[in-house]
Amino acid sequence: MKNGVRIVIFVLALAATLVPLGHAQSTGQTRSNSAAVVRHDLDGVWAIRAATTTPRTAFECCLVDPRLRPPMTAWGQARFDAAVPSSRSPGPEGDRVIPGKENDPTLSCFPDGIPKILTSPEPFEIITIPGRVLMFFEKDHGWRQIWTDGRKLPEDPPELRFDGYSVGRWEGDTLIVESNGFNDKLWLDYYGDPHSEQLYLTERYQRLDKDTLSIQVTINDPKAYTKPWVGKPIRYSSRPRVEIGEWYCTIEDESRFSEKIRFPTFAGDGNKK
Amino acid sequence: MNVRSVTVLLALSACTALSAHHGAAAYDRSITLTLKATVTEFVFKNPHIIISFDAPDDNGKIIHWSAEGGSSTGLARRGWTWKTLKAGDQVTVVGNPARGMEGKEARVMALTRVILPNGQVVGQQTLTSEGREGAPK
Repeated sequence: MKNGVRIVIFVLALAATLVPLGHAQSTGQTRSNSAAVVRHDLDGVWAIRAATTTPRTAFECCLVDPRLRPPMTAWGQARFDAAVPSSRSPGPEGDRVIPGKENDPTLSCFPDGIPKILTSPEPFEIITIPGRVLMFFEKDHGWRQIWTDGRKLPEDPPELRFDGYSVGRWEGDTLIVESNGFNDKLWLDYYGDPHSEQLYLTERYQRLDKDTLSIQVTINDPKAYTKPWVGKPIRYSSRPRVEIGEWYCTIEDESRFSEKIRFPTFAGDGNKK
Repeated sequence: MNVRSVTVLLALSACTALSAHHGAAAYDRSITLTLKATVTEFVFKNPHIIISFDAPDDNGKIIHWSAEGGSSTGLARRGWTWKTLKAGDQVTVVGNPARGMEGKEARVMALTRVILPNGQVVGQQTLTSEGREGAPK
């Protein structure tokens, strides 16, 4: 009888040890060396958070702050000078908007691409599957693959992409994503900051709480900038009831918008603000 | 649409939307027009919905307007559908006019909200001058 009690106690103690570990594994959690449970769960629908700061901005501005932009190379400066954005930059160059003359690549139905689309107001969904973290963006209705199966970035990418080629790894509660293999067709942001095919992007994804995601990026593009450009963490809110909608860019829709809205407005305004 | 959903929509109308397609400075936010309108076309598409309508000016002359709204995907989450408006509907349109178009027969505005024939109010993400402008934290 006494031995029986000991056996029951032993089994219960063993179960108490194993159950949390099993639960952690089934819910995407892992254990660090300190035995504290660290979540590896970014899944859900997210949208960039509206800011409440003064001066008020509609959304958290800038994965990389134009006020802290490193000096550009001659190549980068030429690309920047040729860009006519649709939004006034908080950077020292100020307002470069010329109504009706905007040449943001998205106006020609190019995708926003990584990392620019991360500051689009449209939501995106993160879905974790074995070996990959997937990002599904409403804008452009596009998927991004982040390989988490241990593979390395290609040293010499066979093709250059709008979203680049991405691999990710967990460090504690942070998913670190590194990307290369970008083409040079897109902007880094809505202000016309350029990037080249030498862009090496590092992103840090951290779920601060159930409803808050943080993303911080570092731009390393020696063809466009003389130094790495380090961004501050930007917050995103969980949107659990939101379904990702379908937003494809079509020439028909863009042309109609330009014909009815952009060009008449430009003709009426006539001058840069 | 009940009172609560109208309230939600109006609250959401305080939200702002970035437009990569259009400089927000094109609109005069100091002027809010409330126009009795006859819808001529309703395009519930991205990048932004467009309501085309005719409305008389102070002298009774018919002005052809195009009102720019938010994205159709965003507005679909706020209660709009592609059937919310149709040609021939008599509605009240509230919005901010584009600068420098006074005196023209065809004008553009940024939509704030629409009051439907049955009195329902459909709110709108506004493209305010705050937009994405202003300094980051």
